[in-house]
Amino acid sequence: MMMEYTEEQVLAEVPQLDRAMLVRFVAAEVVIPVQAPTRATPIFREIDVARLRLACELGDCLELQEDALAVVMGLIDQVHALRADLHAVLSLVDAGPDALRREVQSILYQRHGVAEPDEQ
Amino acid sequence: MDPYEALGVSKTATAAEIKKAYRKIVKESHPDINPGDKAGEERFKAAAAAYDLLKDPEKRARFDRGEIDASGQERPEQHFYRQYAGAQDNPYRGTQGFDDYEDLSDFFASFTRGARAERGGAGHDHMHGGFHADGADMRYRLEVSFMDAALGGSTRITLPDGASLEVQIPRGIADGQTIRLRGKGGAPIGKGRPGDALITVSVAPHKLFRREGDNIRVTLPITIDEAILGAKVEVPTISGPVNVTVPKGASSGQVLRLRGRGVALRGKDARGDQLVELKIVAPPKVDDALADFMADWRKKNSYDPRKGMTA
Repeated sequence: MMMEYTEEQVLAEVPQLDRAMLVRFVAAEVVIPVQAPTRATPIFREIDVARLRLACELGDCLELQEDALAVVMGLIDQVHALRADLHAVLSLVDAGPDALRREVQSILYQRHGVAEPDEQ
Repeated sequence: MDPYEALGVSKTATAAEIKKAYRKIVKESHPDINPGDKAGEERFKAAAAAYDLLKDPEKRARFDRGEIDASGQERPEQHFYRQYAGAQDNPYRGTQGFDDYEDLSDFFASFTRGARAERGGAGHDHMHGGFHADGADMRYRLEVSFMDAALGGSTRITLPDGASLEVQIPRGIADGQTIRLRGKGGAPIGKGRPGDALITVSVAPHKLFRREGDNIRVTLPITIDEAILGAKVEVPTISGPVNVTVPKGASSGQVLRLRGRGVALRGKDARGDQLVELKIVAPPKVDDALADFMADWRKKNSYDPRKGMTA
């Protein structure tokens, strides 16, 4: 079952967060609450709680305002999305023909400026 | 672990030095900004626990006097964002395009150039002067009912300015998919086009039905006598009740397939199937007659459904 959090519950879950910050984070699209026609107020999910915790940590430590934070979070999302895509592609290549595996491995090593491992 | 050691500061460090040390470790090692760095994650966890203790002057003093130990300060099991970040249905995955992957063959065209292909983008218009840029896309998340997601429907979202916008939900939409409303996003600059509203859908669970792609799965409770003798039983589907024939001698877990009673995905006419999983339910009260009959029956007809079930 998917967990749901009201605004109050989110504030209780993330001690570093206060209501004013949450309002600013929503306005800057650092988090996007879920609208549900069957409920009077928007709700948050576990992913949002984890995201708000990260936003608080980064905001506090790097002294980022919410707009800068939205940019950073957007880049983090891109990195994770690309990593997931790359992982999907690589696992297909990994299961594919040997020649293709070698070719992809060679390209990746070259791009990273690392010497290729010896042929086994 | 010694909290001073975890942060790499001396026991006489000032509060500012402690914060600075913690910040440095966050920048270098936070698992959400350094995915895939296991050692970094351990450094961060140790530093975070240490910082929780040392940032509070009172707790720090108590720790220094030996009244509390560092272990009492460990954070509860934390769900890092990256545990959700790479997931396919992460609503924050974004729609960053691959407009710049022009060298790839048409084979990947719909992936690399799909989303924004027909939008103008930004640029200078030398004929008419001035700068033009398309408006920004606005992102929303919307929970839709199971039935609306299966059959299509319409609902409304509230915009930041308090106005509301009608949203048509295409039939067969699945959790994590995005509806694009062209021109309902941010205002453009100059002669650019307005941005789009991007609405990521989450489908509310249903008390009876579960979606499996274009199939619907439902658990159908039946009585012992229906299981033994067979029966015609009414079962709900997403488009109204249907009669199914429970075969004689049915077992729990057996799945009956109702062809064409599932979901028609977008752009397809054919509907998936409804899968009806049988579940035999014992009568609320076992009376003497039933118990006696069973005891009697067992004497002559014992069978072993667990035959060959060895680990």
